[in-house]
Amino acid sequence: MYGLFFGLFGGLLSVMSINLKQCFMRVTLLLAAIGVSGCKGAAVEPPVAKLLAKPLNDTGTTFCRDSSGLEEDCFVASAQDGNQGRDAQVGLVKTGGGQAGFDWSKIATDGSTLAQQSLAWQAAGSEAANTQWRCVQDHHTGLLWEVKSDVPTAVNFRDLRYTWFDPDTTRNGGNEGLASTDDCNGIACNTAAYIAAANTQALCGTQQWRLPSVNELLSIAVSANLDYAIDTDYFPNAKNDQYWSYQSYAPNRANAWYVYFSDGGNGTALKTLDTYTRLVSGGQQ
Amino acid sequence: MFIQLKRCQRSLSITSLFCGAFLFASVSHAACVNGLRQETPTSRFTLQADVVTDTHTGLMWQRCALGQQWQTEKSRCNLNLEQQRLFTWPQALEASKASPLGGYSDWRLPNKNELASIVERACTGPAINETVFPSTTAAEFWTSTPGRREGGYAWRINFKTGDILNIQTDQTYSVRLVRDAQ
Repeated sequence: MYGLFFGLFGGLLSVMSINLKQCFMRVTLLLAAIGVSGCKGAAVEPPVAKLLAKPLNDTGTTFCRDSSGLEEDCFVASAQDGNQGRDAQVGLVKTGGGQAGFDWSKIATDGSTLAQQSLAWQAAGSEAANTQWRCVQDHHTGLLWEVKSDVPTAVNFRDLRYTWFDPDTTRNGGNEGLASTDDCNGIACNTAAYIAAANTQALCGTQQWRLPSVNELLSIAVSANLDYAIDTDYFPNAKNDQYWSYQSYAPNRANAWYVYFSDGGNGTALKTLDTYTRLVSGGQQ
Repeated sequence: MFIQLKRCQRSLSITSLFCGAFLFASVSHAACVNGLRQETPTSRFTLQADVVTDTHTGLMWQRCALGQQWQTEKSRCNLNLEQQRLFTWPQALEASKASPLGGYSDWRLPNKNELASIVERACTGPAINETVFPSTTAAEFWTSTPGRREGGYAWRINFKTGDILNIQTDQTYSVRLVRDAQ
């Protein structure tokens, strides 16, 4: 019965969508006929950009390679990642900065944007001197990320590792993971405790902190970098290692997905494993 | 085009097509887990017969992989035995330039982030929304993103589980094309 309903609905949708597609094609032809197409120099107002709920970052890949791995001119290898997208866009207008097509700003613990954005992180520095920061705002995806510290007593110390713990049964696939009670500088070493602490503190001015999805982690992963698959100018004290996502591994929910910031790939690990965690805020989950 | 393949690729293609047809006939569906959040619900997409637009990312996707053909009456993809279905990375890049689907001329091979955006991790075998992308093989698909080191690697996504790895460019995988929806 479910199949019949789906079949009818699918059939109805097909009929409707055929008309929609014909409409698209006819309008496109009409516009072309009156000179509104491509880059022909017609003085036409560009269409208003649609507000995308989950705009994608480009991968940070600015090179092209032939099939044996040697670097190749991207103009020649036109179908590859390196020749396309924000990373390849000449004259890309940014609100902030960052390598390739990325667009970030450094944010202080109180949520304010650092006045000076181009100073390097200093171990003996400070937010007042703009040589330390607590968060990074991604102007393209709209996400706000936390940044790690090199101070061994800091709650966001780079070496701290957390077990995966999420008691939300609409999200954990029936396996809540492990609520480790080990100490991570005053916070229990599990992801739910770390999230709760960040929200209680209203870190960087928000109380919407959570674990990112795999795709959100990929949005800050730069596969093109050699050692750290992340822009360390904006994300100092990063580990080229596994960072937890909120997503359980569907075939076996005792495991959850991580993104590997050595190369920007992903994998799964037991939720009882403790590994690195970088919280995110904003966007839709 | 089929004759130009090497004999090993030809037999691999024949085997893949045969097995693909068999699998399709035996109706393999994704298993989606209750209690896991679906990141790619159908409501986020605009279905347009053989193409679909993701309103969240602004991307338009071909609903069938290369080597499949859209069957309007049943809203699914059938194997097209006259076309190549598995490609090495250079072949995938080449094939991505030549698709005329929908009257568009700017289809491309998706990069790593773009292809990852349609992985549905609440589902497995394939890890994709099968209403939006019917008849998806639970296997590897190429991206346009090369590996960072020399040695001939490029990134692929396995739609059986959703893992993302880089692999030698001479492997033969499926291809799904994308373009910017204006």
